[in-house]
Amino acid sequence: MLPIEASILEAAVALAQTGTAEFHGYLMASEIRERQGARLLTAYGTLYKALERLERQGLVQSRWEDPAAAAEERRPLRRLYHVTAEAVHALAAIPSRGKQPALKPIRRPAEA
Amino acid sequence: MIALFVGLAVFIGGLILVAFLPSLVARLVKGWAWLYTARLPSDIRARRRAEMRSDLWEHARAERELGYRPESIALHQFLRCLFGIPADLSWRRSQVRQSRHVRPRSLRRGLPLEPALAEKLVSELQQLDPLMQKVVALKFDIELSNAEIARLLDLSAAKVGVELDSALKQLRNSLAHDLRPWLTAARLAEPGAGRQKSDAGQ
Repeated sequence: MLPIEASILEAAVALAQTGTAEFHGYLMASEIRERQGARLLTAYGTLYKALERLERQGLVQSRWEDPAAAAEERRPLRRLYHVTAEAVHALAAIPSRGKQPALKPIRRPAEA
Repeated sequence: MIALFVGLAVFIGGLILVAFLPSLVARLVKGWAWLYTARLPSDIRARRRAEMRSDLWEHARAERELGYRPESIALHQFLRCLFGIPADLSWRRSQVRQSRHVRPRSLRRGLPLEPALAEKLVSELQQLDPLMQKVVALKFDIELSNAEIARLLDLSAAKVGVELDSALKQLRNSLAHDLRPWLTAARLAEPGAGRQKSDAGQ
């Protein structure tokens, strides 16, 4: 598994533990930045390519949100992702990611 | 007087640029997404473009709420787009390969790979240096870009390119004999091959 894929899964599992079961692309990018203490958000191409790979591997699933919700907030439709049970097993199987910075606790109000 | 005029023009130009920069960058990023998804199947194209639209909007909203200035937001979006270009291109290549809607560029021209040739290919792949095997698998199986492979294997991108070129050259050389009749058949099967023959006969 690539580092970006592991980062996505770790962040997604952490989000799920705090009550945010589904995430969209920008939320994931900002979550990864916060957890890694990075200055920049994950690039669009890198993020969506990795999400697509994870989806192909069955580690995340996605759906378009209800158009009514987007229309109500007058914003574009979100693609919502969630991790599958296989993702948790896949994460557990990853050997220690020695060089990665320690994970930081999540500080985020629940958001879809 | 001229200096004052130029200064005023630069100031006004700067104000206009800053005022329109976020929407310009958003259009630029959307334009790039439009470009690299062009001619892909409509569902794939629509999904990526819609995700980009949503991400740009969410990004701008979140940073506005955090108090970022419009030009900072534009810069952040531009950098996200810029750093993602290699992945975008590699993603497009993989989509093109998988897609029937885009004309295949491979030499196969849709012909099935003969089992004997496939076995030979696997056997030759196993003869490659272990590093070359890794690079080839990551490039053509997982479809990573050279930059991504370099990061994963802790190599320079140039080294990845060299390994890839060497591996392909080695494979071509060792398979040249086996490939020749197969490629000839593929060329004859190309649309227009028969027409060219009849044109030549006239």
